[in-house]
Amino acid sequence: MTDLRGWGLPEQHLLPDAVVAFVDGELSSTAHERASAHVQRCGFCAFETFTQQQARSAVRTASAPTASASLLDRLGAIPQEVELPSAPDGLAITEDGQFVAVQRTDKPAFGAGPVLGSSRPLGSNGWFSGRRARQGAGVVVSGMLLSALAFTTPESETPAPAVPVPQNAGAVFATTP
Amino acid sequence: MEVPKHLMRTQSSSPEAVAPIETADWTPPSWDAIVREHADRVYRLAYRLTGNQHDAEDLTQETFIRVFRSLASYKPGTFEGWLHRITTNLFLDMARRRSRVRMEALPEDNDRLEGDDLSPEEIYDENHLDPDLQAALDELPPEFRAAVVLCDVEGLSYEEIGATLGVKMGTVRSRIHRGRQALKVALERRRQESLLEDSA
Repeated sequence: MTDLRGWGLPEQHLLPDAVVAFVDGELSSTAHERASAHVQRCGFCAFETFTQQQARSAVRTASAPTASASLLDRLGAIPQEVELPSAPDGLAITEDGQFVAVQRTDKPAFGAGPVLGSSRPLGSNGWFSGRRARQGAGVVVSGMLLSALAFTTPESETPAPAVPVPQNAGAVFATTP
Repeated sequence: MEVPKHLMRTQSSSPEAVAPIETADWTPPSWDAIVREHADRVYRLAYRLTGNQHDAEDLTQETFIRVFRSLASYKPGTFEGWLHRITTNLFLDMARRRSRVRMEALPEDNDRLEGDDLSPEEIYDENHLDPDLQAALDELPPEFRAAVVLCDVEGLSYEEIGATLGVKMGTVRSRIHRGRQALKVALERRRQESLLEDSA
């Protein structure tokens, strides 16, 4: 990084890490002063700094999109549409504690995709490729439940790896009878 | 949360949407208060990350579903950070999955998978919301885009970005630096292209 041309003294340019931190005000005050002094007499670093500042302000000054009314309505309806993790997607618990498959067809307005009860099983992870009714990206990892899910959707595609296990997965078993 | 519970949204397509969630040691705000307070922020982040209204709405909804399911285990005081983490990580999961799908199967289809037809309103929205900036953002690799958006849309500190993405400070710095550099190049190229089109 040393560049002798045009300088009376050996001069190091600011490292990229320093340039970006300088622009974002993330340097300590001492380091900031040194960087500032350097940028004032180094065209290369001044240009680097300018580039960062331009990109930064292009994003910062962009108008912010806001959530549509229909999205707000869908978000507000989540408590009615989404099962709490007392049961995984597509399953419910009967009064005698048996898991049963659920087919909920009473909410057609919620999304254009499949009804909630028919979402793909744990691990298929297709929530982003379909419409919004894909409510459940993985709730519980349990051999019993997985087999039950496999039973409800035998035609589903091959599961993708790496399903994140939600923090509260354990709570399921605390609330089941 | 500082939102009084009586300040619930008055109009909703589903009036029964107000369902206060009670726990023993902490009383969360009403669901409507959470949605009203945070929906725009989450949506803005989701939009800048995904680049279009459809995916942004999906991502926002998925984020709120996670929030709803995890409210009982939520510790007060870090709600915004929590939302940032959920939204960003869901986005990165989605982006990785898509790039895998694209490499394995699909032809040149960088933007949307089938079934993602846009309504006229969505097209209008996309065309009037800094399309050049968003397109330039979309060109960035997802990890770089996330760092830049968290810094410059959300205004997070490097430390907060590192915590959100689960990466070290040096990684945060270099992702923002390189992300912004690529963004500048992309913006510049788009500006040149539009100048050429105008003169043609």
